[in-house]
Amino acid sequence: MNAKITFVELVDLMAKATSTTKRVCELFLKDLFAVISQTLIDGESVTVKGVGTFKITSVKPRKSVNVKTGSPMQISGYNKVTFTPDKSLAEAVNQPFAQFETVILDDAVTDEKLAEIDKQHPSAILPDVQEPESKVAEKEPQKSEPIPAIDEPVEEAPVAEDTFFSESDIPVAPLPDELPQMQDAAPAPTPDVLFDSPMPDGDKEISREVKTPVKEPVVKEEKPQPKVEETVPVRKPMLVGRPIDGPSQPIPEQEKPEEVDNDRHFYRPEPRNVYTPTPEQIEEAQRKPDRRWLWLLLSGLAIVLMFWLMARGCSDSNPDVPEQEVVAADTIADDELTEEEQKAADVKQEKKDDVKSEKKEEVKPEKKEEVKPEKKEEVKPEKKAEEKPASKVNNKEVTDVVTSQIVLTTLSEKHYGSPWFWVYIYEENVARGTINDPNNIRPGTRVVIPPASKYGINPNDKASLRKAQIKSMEYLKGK
Amino acid sequence: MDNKKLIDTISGNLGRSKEDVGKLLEAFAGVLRERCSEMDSVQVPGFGTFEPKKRDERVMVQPSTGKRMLVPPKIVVGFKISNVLKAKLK
Repeated sequence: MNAKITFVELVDLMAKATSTTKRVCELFLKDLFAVISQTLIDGESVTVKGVGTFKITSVKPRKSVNVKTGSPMQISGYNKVTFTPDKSLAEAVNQPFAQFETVILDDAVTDEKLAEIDKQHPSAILPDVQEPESKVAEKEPQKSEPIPAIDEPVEEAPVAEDTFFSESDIPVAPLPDELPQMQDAAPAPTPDVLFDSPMPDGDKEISREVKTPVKEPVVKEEKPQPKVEETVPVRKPMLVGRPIDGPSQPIPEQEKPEEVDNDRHFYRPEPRNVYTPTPEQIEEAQRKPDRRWLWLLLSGLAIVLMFWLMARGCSDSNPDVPEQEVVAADTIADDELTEEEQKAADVKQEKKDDVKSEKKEEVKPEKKEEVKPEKKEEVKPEKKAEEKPASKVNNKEVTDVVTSQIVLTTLSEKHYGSPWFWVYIYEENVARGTINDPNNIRPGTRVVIPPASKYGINPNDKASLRKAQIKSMEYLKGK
Repeated sequence: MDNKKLIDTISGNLGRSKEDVGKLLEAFAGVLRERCSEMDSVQVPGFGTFEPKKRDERVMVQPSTGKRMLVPPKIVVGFKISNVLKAKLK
């Protein structure tokens, strides 16, 4: 890092790389740079494959003012060498930052707006704050050694232990206030996780050497073991145990590994797994033993929710005619829903048919046919926009309105899943004469969003994305 | 002068085959790439220094459209010419 490689070292490295003598490499390098220098002096540029291009440009003499005397003076011209690195070299060197791309900034976004968003979604900020803690929790099983603890955790630990014996199932929050999520996730200890936790002896040896500043979970983990072996009141072994926990001391636990495992399994107080803070996941963590039931329940809920959304969307658009509701449900089911849901929709349709036959005997099939296609088109885009605005690729031709906030790129993001495809919207609308300049669209203009298939739009396909990017660059340059 | 001509010239000067010279040139490019990726600078006396430098991210305004763009940070290889060569070029 940041070392300066001298010519001698360069020769060494080259000799190793080519498995030739240093002499050969030295002669070669000297001649190489002599030739390049001479060519540059002759006024010609040199391109070296894998290195780059050395180009010579002349700087004209210019007038300036002598700073001390204030008298005008002439700065003489000279020849300047510019070096453009070869693509392979530039990419290799830029590897650490390769994943970044140039981003177009939205001028409408201000700091106040961002602050508002942060307020509304505090959970979006929290994970970052928690990250170091959760990492410690993950590392915990490996670093099982008793290590001198920071004062605070040790003082807190006895409290947690006491409560453990009294109410074995409900652990009291062992951590400082900063980590409400961890407390929530604390009751999660499952048999699975705990059986994973016993560490092999090899790990112990390694982990003794590795010490991180935050040891608090480790200390707690070790506590139950001396307790069980000595069968003494809880607090005493802990206070005594603190000096024992020095880094150089041997661990009693190694003598009875199996017992220890069981005990740990039983008493385990501290949060082992920290999940992301969404309430669903915390709920899931709490009920890990009957996970399957939970999954079933959740999926059931999701299905019900989808049906409810569908039913609501249809009834909003057309509360009177039950026939259309069924049609809409069917079309959506074809596109997006799973087989189960389709079955359910079929059942629903049967029911509707029954109801319909009882109530309206006079409705004729021809009329239904007339109504159907219209409704399909109306209902479908709405639904899609409602459910998956970003990820869903639009396959129908729809129209949307440009406002001061919503521009072509936003529309493209909404309908195709990537802002780069705005060029196609632009092209389509130029062809139709709706707009002229992509940067100057009157708010309120209705633009046509072409179907994705017409221009081969696919946000998941890199080639398609690349094509759109190149195109948009051309447009931006041309303007 | 392109790569091929450069190899021709060097092989003529050294009396080695073009293949050999091509391999040596490739090896030099490889060493340079490797060292620069490690953020080491490579000095060649009488010629100049190849030095990787980090460029910070910056906001760029596209002059034609007036759109503001956030250009990501990057590492680029710079070349600083030595004073000897600079004097010769004058």
